[in-house]
Amino acid sequence: MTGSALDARNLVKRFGRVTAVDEVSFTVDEGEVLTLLGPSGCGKTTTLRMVAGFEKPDAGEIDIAGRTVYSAARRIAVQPEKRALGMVFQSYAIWPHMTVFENVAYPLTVRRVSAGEIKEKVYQTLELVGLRGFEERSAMALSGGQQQRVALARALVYSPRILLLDEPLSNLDAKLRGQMRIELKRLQERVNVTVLFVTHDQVEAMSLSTRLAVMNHGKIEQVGTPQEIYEQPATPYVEDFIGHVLRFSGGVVERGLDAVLVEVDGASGTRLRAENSDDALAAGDRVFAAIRPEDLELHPAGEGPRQNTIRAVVEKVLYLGSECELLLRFEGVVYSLVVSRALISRLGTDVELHLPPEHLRVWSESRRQGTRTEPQVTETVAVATSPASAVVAGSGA
Amino acid sequence: MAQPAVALPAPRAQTISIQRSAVLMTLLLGIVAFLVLAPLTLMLLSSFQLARPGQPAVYSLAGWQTAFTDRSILNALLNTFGLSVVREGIALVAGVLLAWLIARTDLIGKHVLEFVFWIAFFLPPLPIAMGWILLLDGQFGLINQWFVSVFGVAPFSIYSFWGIVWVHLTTTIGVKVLLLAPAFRNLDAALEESSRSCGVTTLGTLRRIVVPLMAPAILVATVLGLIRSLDAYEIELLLGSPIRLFVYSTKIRDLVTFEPPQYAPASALGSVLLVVLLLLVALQRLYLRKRVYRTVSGRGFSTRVLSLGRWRWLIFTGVALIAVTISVLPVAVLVMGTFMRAFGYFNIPNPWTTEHWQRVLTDPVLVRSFQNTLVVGFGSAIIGTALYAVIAYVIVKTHFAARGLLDLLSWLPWAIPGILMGLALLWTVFDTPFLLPLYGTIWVLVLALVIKSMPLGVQLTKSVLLQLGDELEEASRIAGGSWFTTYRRVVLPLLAPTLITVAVVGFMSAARDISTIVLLGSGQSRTLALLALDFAYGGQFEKATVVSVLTVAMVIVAALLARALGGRVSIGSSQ
Repeated sequence: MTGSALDARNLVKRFGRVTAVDEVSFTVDEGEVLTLLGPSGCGKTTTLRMVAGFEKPDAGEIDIAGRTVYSAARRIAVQPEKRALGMVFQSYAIWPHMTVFENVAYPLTVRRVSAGEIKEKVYQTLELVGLRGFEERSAMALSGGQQQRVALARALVYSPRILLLDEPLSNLDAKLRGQMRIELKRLQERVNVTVLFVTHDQVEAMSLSTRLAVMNHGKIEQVGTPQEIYEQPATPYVEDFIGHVLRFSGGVVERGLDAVLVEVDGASGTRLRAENSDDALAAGDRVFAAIRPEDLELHPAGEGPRQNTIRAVVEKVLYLGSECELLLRFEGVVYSLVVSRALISRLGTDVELHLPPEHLRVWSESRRQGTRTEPQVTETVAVATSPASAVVAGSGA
Repeated sequence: MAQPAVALPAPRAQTISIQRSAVLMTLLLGIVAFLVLAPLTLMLLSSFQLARPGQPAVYSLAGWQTAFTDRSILNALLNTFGLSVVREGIALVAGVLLAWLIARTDLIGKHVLEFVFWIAFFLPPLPIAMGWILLLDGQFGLINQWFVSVFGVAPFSIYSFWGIVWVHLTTTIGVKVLLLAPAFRNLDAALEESSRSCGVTTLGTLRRIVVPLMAPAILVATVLGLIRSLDAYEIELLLGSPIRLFVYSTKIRDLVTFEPPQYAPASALGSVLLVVLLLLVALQRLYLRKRVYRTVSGRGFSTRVLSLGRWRWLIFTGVALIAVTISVLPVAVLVMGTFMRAFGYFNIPNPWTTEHWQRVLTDPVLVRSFQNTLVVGFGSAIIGTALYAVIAYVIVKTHFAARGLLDLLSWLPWAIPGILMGLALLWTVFDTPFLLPLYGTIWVLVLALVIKSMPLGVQLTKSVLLQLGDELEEASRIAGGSWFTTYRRVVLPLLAPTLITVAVVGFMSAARDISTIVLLGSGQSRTLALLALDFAYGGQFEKATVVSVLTVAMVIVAALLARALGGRVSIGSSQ
């Protein structure tokens, strides 16, 4: 393993009585994109700003390329300008009194690079971000997307050790955001720069990251590749925050060697077998079983398998174009499921949901705290964006 | 997993620079605290003691007794309050409307109109008051003469409550427009348009959306205007004294110039006002704390203008009329007055003469006063602006623990009426050995004016710094610029137009100030404004108009100069 580009250890930051960042540790390897992902207020931006040097951690240490730039214990605090970082701000922070050229040239100018070299490098970098020919424009005469490219060029022009991105796409409109996301990925691979990326958008996080760290309440809940995070969530919070999930509350009936038997709350007395659980559970424990919508099978009433199947009532069908959204009621809770239009015609007022044991995961009820708040008191809404298995199972022929 | 085993270069301790900046900021706090608190403390102390400056102290409560029992002092306080409320109320409504029209609508000739208001802001009160005397004097006032010739009665008298309100209005509307127009311009048009799209009319939007959003800026303009008007001196002195209408500042002058001087009740009266003003400042700060200020970031935002439609010409006529009335009219009359043998008497043989100009221009006193004005003006503008920029920066952009205190201290001089500030500074100079050599020189005036202009200078700079998102600076730091580089290359250029405005305001207040320096300026260190007041109050009205015209000319020339300089800088930043 090569030395990490960034090593943050046990970072703590308090604002008054609120602990914004609580014992956060992570490393970023050379050439890697590490994303700090979480809702607003989870401490991801504060963590980024501590790496940049704009916030002083109350405890912990930060190494950049093997050099300690901050240590609370050893009283080391390297100024932001001495950390050799590049950063793109949420507002882009393009200086309004400078031209595009002057903005991008700034990091080189303050490093006293020769005029010839500045010109060469600025042109090169502007070429890279697709802004050649804009050099003499006033920065304020640019569109949002162009301003962002200027900010990116300014951050990259002097080949920083690490590129810090603070929600760089959040101020763009959706179409441009998608475009810039792809471009950003390409650019990162081309210049092979190490990136620490902060976002609340899971699509950005999943598609751009080598690894991502999911943050909640100032702590990192899980670090892993996008696939690990999605397929093996370490906490119910991570499972819920990334992608969509349907949840059923119940109690443990039996704890087997490789599976848990859960009786779902309510009059139906449905029992579910689940093969995934990391928690130490015993009979009688309160739990909830969770499944991603694309993993479940949807059948017309009476046609589903006998085991691990619940029967729900179709409350409403919402037409979405290529797909339809089904609102299903089960034991007083409304679940939402997006399915293909073709399937709808085959469904009656009742449906059966088969929850394959290998995809069902059981969490202890006590771990529920800290997960995303429910949209409404009695409703759990989950949206299956691509319910392939449901379509296959339903078409049956 | 493991730490790299390579020996790392020993990290250099960076904490030193942090400590150094803390020391520098503490030093700054110390200087400001001394400049502001020492005179205040001495003023409070002097209200309890009866001896003159430099003599052994005699402590007594007699001063406070007089201040609270003397009917004329109570009347002066009532007059002060009444005049302030009336003129500030009118000026605020007019100022908000005018600033909005200029900044956000397609008003005809709005650039020219804003320019006129801008000029009006700098016009010294004394010449304006004299101009209005020429127009509205009960006997020779031109407007009254016209009314007499047409209707047979003279309806106006400048020597009255409303006369004072009127002259004050013409000098304070310019302040409001100058302060509010830029704030209106920085307001995102989308906020207005979304209200229009909800079916609210233009005027309704102004009232429901724009004014509340502008509340912080409007509040600052109001409080500044109110406190500033409480400091008014020469207008009340000229227009109030003849009818025995005193406000607290003229009353204090009355007490101080009394023989023997009544320093103690004067200081007690000043202390009462001080408490009222401190309360006002505290309320304002409490209110502003709850408001989000940072609206402008590096991102562009739209400022579309609103079409006035068929009302354009009517509104233009109204605004133009106001603009001319508060600027061109009194000055033109004043200039005319300098060439008249006797004010308003057109029927005498040879009413026109250049005799006043000849007499004044050959007077060596005038040349000296002119030089004094330049030194005091430039000295206080340059020293002041540098100091204010640093103070404002520390307050807004650093985490200095005592920045709140610094903010408060930089505000306080508003609460010190000019004449008491002068008196207090005189005592400060006597009691501070290292300041004693300054006594009798014009550098005492510079010191007084640097303190006097501090609140406005710091506030103006602060308001711009507050609107400058932190990210603009952070982007420079992360790009490798040190704090100083960042300040020089990012903050200063963006701040430059404001700093030039601050310097101009500093120069103007110095050139036209009377109340602050009247007790500090000896015959040798008199400025033109002081000379004009001496002439006017001493009955040499013709000479006073000549000197006043010179003051106005100097102020306007300097203002135009600064505008040319500032304009170039702001063009660089906006286009």
